[in-house]
Amino acid sequence: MNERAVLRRLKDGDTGALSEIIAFYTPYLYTIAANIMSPQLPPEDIEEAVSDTFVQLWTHRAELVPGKLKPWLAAVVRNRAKDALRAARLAEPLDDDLLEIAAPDNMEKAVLYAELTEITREAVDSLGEPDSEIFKRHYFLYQKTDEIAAVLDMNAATVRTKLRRGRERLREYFTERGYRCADPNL
Amino acid sequence: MQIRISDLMDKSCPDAVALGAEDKAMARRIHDAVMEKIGETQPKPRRTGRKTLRTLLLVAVIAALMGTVAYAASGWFMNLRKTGTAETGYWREVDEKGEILTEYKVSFPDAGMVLTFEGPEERKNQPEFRCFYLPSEANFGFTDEEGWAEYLSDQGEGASIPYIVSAGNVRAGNHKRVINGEVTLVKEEDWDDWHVTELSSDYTHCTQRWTYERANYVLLFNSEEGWLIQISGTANLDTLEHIARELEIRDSGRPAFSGEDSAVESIGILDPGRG
Repeated sequence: MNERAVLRRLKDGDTGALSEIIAFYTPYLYTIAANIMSPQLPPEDIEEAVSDTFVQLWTHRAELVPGKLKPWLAAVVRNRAKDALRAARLAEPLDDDLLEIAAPDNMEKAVLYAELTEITREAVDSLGEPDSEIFKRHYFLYQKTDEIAAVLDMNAATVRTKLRRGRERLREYFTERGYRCADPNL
Repeated sequence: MQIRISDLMDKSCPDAVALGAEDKAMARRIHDAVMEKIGETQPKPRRTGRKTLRTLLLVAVIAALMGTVAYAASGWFMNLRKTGTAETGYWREVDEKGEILTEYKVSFPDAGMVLTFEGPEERKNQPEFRCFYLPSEANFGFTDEEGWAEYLSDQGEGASIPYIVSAGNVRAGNHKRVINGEVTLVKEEDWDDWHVTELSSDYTHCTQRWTYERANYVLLFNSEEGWLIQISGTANLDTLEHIARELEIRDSGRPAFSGEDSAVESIGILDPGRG
């Protein structure tokens, strides 16, 4: 798919471009949503999270930047899926993997969140491969450790070890940047 | 404050990771749900020409009296004539003086429907299309780097030729196009500038052997431009109509061309075939 061309058509209001994007990205987005929502919610709810993501794409089509479509869609479907779990008062996956961060009191929440996610991105990219991919697969795509192990042809225990090291690295990264940070599970 | 690590990952999408297997039925459901939510329940083929929808009632009345189905606007007429008998025609080529160079008689014993066209002899430019939905990957035909094509097909194998999409200019005069088998007119409707005819043909009782037992046809006829877009194959009509609805069609800027250009009279078939 020529993303630049399809986004240009999408911005012009061409529903054919939207159809093209739906055909291309549905398997990807459905898998992310299912990793988050299944088995707690039925497939119909998962499909709805995916379709709502494409509707959001349509309504925000003027804001999209070529080269960023995939992460944009993935971020939206993650939030849609988590919203559905919250609405049903169900627990989110990876609920226990937390960081305790002492944030400045005077910082606006949105600004803080933007800064924390940016620091996280830098920290995860600094892990190198395959650790960075493992961390992203687990915490962004919500893939289980044995699934990641199978895809990357490695032992599940090795994957868990690399995830633990990644969490430590993340904590160090925040500390180095002036945030008091702790892993409540340690 | 406590924050989930996964919630901090919104900017950490693994770009190179592909996920999920294709599920056409699910993708279709999601597509339909999205289109409904944005108020676009029936996407229509996009056009580049002027938006005009004309119906000449007089033509329809005359056509009905003659036992034929016709559709026309200002430019070209399309006549559909059902037939239960053999259809015979000629292939004739003449030189500049009008003397016959080639002439032979062709007969289709299993003809079910005959298409003919009336209108100007001079044709407009060749149409071309882009597909935004195909049920399977095309394995025959050529597209340019932007996806524009005049012919695309999944040739399938054995009794299956899933779909063929072809775009061309109709020729007025003594040029007949035959669909073999027992042809049923399933639906006719208008999508903006396009008159849509859906046909289904049963080949089981044909005297000549066909590789498939049934083929379906969605014909998009633009009477103003003299264009005929044919979506046909062994796929069901819903699938072919889906292909048709998600076509973008435009003037290619190239003069009309077809293999029958050298003939002043011709007869040929529209039935799906390979190659």
